[in-house]
Amino acid sequence: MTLDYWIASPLALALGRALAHFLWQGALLAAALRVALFLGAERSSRWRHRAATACLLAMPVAFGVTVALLLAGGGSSVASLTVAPRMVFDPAISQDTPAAPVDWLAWLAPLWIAGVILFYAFRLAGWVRVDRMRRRGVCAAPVEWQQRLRALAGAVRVSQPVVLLESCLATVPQVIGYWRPVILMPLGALAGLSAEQVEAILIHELAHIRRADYLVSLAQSLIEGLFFFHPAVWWIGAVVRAEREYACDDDVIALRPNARTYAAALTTLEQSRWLAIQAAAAANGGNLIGRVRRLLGESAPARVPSTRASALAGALVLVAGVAIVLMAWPAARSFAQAAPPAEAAADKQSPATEAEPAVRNIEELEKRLANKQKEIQEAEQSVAKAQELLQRNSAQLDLSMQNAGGHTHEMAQVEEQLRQAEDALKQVKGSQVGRSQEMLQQQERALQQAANQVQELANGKLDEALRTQQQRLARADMALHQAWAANGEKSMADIEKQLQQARNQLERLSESWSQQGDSELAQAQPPEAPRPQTATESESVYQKWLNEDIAYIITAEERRAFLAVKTDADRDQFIERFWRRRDPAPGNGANVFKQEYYRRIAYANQHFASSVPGWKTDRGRIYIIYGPPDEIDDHPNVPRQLWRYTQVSGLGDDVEIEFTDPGKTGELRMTAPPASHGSYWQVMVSVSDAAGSVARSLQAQGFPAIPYPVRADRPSLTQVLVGPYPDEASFAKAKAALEAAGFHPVRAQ
Amino acid sequence: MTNPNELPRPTDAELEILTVLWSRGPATVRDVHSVISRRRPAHYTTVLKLMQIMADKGLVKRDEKQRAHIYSASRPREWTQRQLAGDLLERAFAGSASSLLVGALAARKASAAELAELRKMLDEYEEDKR
Repeated sequence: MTLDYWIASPLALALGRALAHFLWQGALLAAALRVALFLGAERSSRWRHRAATACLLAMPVAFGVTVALLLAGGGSSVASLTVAPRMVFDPAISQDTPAAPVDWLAWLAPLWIAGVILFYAFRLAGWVRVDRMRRRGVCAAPVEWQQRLRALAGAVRVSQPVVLLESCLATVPQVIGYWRPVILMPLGALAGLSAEQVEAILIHELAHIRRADYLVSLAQSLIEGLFFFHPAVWWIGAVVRAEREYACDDDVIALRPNARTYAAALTTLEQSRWLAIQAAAAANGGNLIGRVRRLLGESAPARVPSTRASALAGALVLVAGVAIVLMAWPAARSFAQAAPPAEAAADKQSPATEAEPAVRNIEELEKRLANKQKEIQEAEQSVAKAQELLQRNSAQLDLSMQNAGGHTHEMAQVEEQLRQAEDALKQVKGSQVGRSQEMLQQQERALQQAANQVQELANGKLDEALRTQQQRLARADMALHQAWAANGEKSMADIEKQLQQARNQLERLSESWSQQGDSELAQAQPPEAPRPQTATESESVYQKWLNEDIAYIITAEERRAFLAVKTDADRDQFIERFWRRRDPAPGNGANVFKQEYYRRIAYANQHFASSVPGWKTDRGRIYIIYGPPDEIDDHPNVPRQLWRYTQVSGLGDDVEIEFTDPGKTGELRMTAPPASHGSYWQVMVSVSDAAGSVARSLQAQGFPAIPYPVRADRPSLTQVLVGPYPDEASFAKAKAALEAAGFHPVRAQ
Repeated sequence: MTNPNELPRPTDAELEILTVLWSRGPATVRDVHSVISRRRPAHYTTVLKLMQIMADKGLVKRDEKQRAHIYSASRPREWTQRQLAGDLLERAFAGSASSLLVGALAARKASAAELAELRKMLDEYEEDKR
């Protein structure tokens, strides 16, 4: 998957194309070097070595520049680079014809990288092995040779200190390192050769050090690994190695002119190595014969053996051919597909060519159709993705609704919007089939935008912002609470202001959120399906909060205050404070009261629902207000349930509430006042006032109160029972108090 | 005498001592120590202990006729070289390492025929000079 992505990246394509370009670039450089070596046949090996090294170094430079041009210039430079070789074959092709995108060339990049990594891994292991030879199986050379080496180093103009070691692992004299160079002599070489010969060999090694050949060799390894696929690199590398040895041989002869001694030393070393390890004889040796022949002044050796030269030439021609085909083929293909009909007609007037434009047109149309179908597919995919996001979103909303019940209105609103967006998306998707292509395109664009926006919605930024605001609000509210308690009116006003600001900010955020949703819907939705007004929605949300969510616990004053509030922002503020006032530990994490309250609603809805929602039933109401009973006597066959509360705050101890179903409605009802020790006062409640709120209000004034249905068949007409009062004195006192508070109590039966 | 096939592969420290013995010929512990300490700091007792262990392993032979014991490598250098070159990793990376080889001779060995030709060339050169 990631590879697919990477393949599609401009870098991969640029690399792939640059690799294809390198096929001819490398061949060209090798050819240039061949010509240079031919012209400079009489030049020194140093010059020839430099030429070969320059060619080698030019390779990564050429490759890098090509990659950079392809990355920077994009199409134009590709075209110009591509056109050059193509012109050779077909001068008629206009340079303006753009090369078709050659996507498959991008696949060369990962293959190439894998190859390079493999090569480098081996080279690294080899380097570790070589570097280890500095320390493993070595011992210091005799002192007299160390002194001789120092003198020779001065003569060869090597400035860094050189260590001379005898090695039991090295089979040939060699140099390791550049900054702290070590010359390894095979064991026995120092004793087996004459002093003059050892000196010659040492001069050769010192020459390597002065010329920094170890570094060059490392760089060469890197370049060879980079372009392992190209024979030209290996050929140039071989030239560099050969000329390097020639150049060092020249240095030896310059200082110790006895060529025969030196040649004999090399031969002896080669022979002792051959004896050292009885391995299968290599088919062809190194270049030693050439070097000895050169040292002994015989005819200059063929730098490259003729058989190998012809093989190399063949390989290079092959590589260049492949490169040109790679470059030319996509261009030719694009020409065949995309050339304007007029040009083709002008070329030749044969019937076949006359038919071509029509065929091309059909092909073009087919191609477009295929593209279109692909686009539709993609759009469908994005719709599916959007739906998935929407589902996830609504799941999140459900969750957050439970967690933050006070903001149900926001959540419900957004949820509703999202659901509508989903519907709209479905509609759009459904209507795609059978419409014209242009219509499809428009729809797809709208879908894409909608999907993007839904995605943005889902990215949680707004969520986070809202959360932050809510937290700030909570803090401010708490401060307000404290200020209220302290009766510091001035600071309270300040905090109120602050709170208002925070509230406004939240409002703006919600607005932008809903606007985003609106615009998304406007784009995604067909015009014939108008969206419900947001205002009514939010109104109904608040209405629901008042009449359903907290109907049982809101006091009459609070209810009046809430109904007096005009703006949604103020309503939100009110709700926030409503819960804050009931929080047993304000500002200390989640509101335990609120959590428990919503849990009770959920429980009631789950367990007591019949023809009416669970929270509206008698059992639901009692459960929500007083919590789970301490004991339940359940007689499902009668049916009858007896709930026992050992202690109910505001009501008394050992309260029993009986639920039966006399009307056989399938719903258990509270048919008698809670059985307790004492008498009750009934307080009638007008239909517009919820019994729960009146009961709460009475409780707030110190009366033990409980909402109670007047008639089993009319649950909406409720009353409040006040009591129980254990004796007549307190009973009478309560009546007086109730009347003073503006109620008309009636003794309950 | 130890079975050559069972002779253990020398460790790096042991190989260093063997290298000294191959280079300088039979030597006392003191001689070996003086060569080793020229390249890196080493304790005489460490070298002594090592060489005693090597004698037990059969890597070196100990001549106890003189007061200072004289040690010599029990196997020629070529034998140990072959033993070490048999290492799989050595073989796997020898080719890669040889491409980094900078020295008087190519990484690739000359064949027997080429060696013979080299000898012939040197001899002919000698005769021409005369």
